[in-house]
Amino acid sequence: MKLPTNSIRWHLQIWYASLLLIALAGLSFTVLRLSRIHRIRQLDQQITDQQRFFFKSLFPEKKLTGPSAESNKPAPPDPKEIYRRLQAEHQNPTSEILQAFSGTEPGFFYFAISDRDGSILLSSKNFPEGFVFPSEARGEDFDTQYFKGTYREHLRRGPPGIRVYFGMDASEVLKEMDQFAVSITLFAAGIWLVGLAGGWWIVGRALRPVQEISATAVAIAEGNLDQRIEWAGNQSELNQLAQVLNHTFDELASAMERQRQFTGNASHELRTPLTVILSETQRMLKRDRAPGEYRESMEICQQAGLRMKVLVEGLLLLARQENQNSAESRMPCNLQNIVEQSLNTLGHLAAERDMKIITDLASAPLVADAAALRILVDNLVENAISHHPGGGTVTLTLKNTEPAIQFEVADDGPGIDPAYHDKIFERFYQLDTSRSRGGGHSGLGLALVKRIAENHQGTCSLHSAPGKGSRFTVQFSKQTGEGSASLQI
Amino acid sequence: MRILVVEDDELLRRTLVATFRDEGFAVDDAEDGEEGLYKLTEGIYDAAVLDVMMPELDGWQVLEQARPKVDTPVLMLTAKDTVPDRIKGLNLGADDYLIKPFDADELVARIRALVRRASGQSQSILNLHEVRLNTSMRKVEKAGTEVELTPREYSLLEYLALHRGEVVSRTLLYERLFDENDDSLSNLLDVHVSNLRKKLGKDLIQTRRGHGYFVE
Repeated sequence: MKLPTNSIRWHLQIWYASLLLIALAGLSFTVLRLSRIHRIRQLDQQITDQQRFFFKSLFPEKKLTGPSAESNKPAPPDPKEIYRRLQAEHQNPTSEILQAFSGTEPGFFYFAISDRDGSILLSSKNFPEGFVFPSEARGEDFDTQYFKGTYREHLRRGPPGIRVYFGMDASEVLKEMDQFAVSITLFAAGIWLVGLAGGWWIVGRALRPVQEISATAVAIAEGNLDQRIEWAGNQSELNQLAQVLNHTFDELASAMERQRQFTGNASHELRTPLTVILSETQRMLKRDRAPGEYRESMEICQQAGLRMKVLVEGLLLLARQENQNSAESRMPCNLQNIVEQSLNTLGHLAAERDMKIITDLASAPLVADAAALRILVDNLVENAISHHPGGGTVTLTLKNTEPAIQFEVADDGPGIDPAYHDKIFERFYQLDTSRSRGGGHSGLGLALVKRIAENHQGTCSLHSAPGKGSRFTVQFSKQTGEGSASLQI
Repeated sequence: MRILVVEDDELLRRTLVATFRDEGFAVDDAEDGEEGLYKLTEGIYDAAVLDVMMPELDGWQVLEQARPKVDTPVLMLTAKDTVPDRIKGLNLGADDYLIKPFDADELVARIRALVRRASGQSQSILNLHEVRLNTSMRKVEKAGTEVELTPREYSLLEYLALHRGEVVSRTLLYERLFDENDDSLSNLLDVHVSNLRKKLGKDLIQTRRGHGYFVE
């Protein structure tokens, strides 16, 4: 099943959404924690300051040492003494100290003194109602600081069991801290969302070439070979891939185009003999004919059929050569032997046309596809013989020199106008249609020669002029041990 | 009817010529574009069949060069069946085209249709008194009964019928109904005329001495 969450984009999105969430949560928690500690320290400082003021007021004779910075650690007065003095103070209704501990506005301070059992001996007027101090076991005599509801309280214990409580209303501060927590959370959530959106966009952008590539590939698969991937021109990895693929598509399209032209040409060439056979049989079947007429008609059909045979064979040979660039069929062979074998088979053709063949063949070992080279030699020699009006000479020269092996087929025939020298190697191009078509030529021979030469890294060239004969030269370079060819009539 | 077949492929040319002759056409052939152009511009053909793919002067070039001089209907034979090719042919003034491999009967029928259209005769039935010609079926009836005619006899009758009321000279008839291979000095024409008179009545084809023949 195809879920959207299976896509790379979603995987990435989920991954960094989780990462970002963890990071932001950790960060927010730390910030909140630190700010809370800081804020409580401030509170404690305020309470300590207030205590100092209190003690200062209560013990005006006691010189508190040092500047305010050291006020955190005044020599703690004896709680018993504190209690005694406070009691005295209590008698004084205008006492400054008692006045200072009477407000109930937010952030007010209070104090209370209790004995070990928790019963309150004395408290400020604003001491919150309902506060109970637990009784304590003897021996616990350290000072503590803690929250009691929305109040922050400091406890001092004295050895005699008297406990002094200083407290402060911290509701404002707590509210403030809550608000801060909310805003930090909102801020983190905001960053998280922005991060998600940005990440979604960046991944989408980075993956766009992939979408382009797949869309283009789909279009090409549907047969639209002209489609190419549009790429932004920057050098990201995916754009490089797009370039490589575009190049591949170009190659593919040109291969397809060559194939299309080839089949187009082939079917075009096959259409004419096919038309001949169909029209001729249709005509003959219309009514009864004299035996001579049938004979003539059968001959026409046979010729058309033979021409189709030659064409199909030529096409198959060519198609095989087109697809052949593997080294599998390459074997060490000697071009000299191949030429000699070819002459054995084509000798009767030369004799028929009263042609003399002169040879000058050096030994020419090379690594090549011997069957293909035989086709090459056969085609060149046969062309030289059959395009000659007859009674002439064909000269075959095979030279084994550095850096190339050179095979030449020269004749003293009518020659070829230089204007046609390039065209003659094209498929189905025939200079002399009236003769060659009747004579069982496919128009593929020289295309084959060229193809085979090129398959062996060879070159193929033609030197000829009307009335001066033709010389086809094929050259196989020795450096690769394979071949090169040049052809001349 | 006399037509020209321009085809560089010898086998196909032979087959086409034989097919048209079998159907009663007078057929001349040309084996390349140059010869075809020369013959076509003589202007003596009722229609021409032109192969597109020929060396040197191809079918399009022949048509292009012949068009200002003659308006002979031309049917192009092509191996390419792409739309741009058809448009090109129609733009250059080809009247019809056929794609190889084609049906020989269709080719003949199309050539007949081209000739009929060119002569301004849109219907295929011609009535000459009690003789009735069906030009699409190439059949002749006299008073409702079918009469067997040789293709050559039929062509002669059809030509005269299409030029009904005009005196058609013997030269013109030789030019239009016989091809290069027929011996124009023979009395072939007289033989055909006398056969037609025997089969369809002696008054159908009348002779204007020294000028030619005509039908009313």
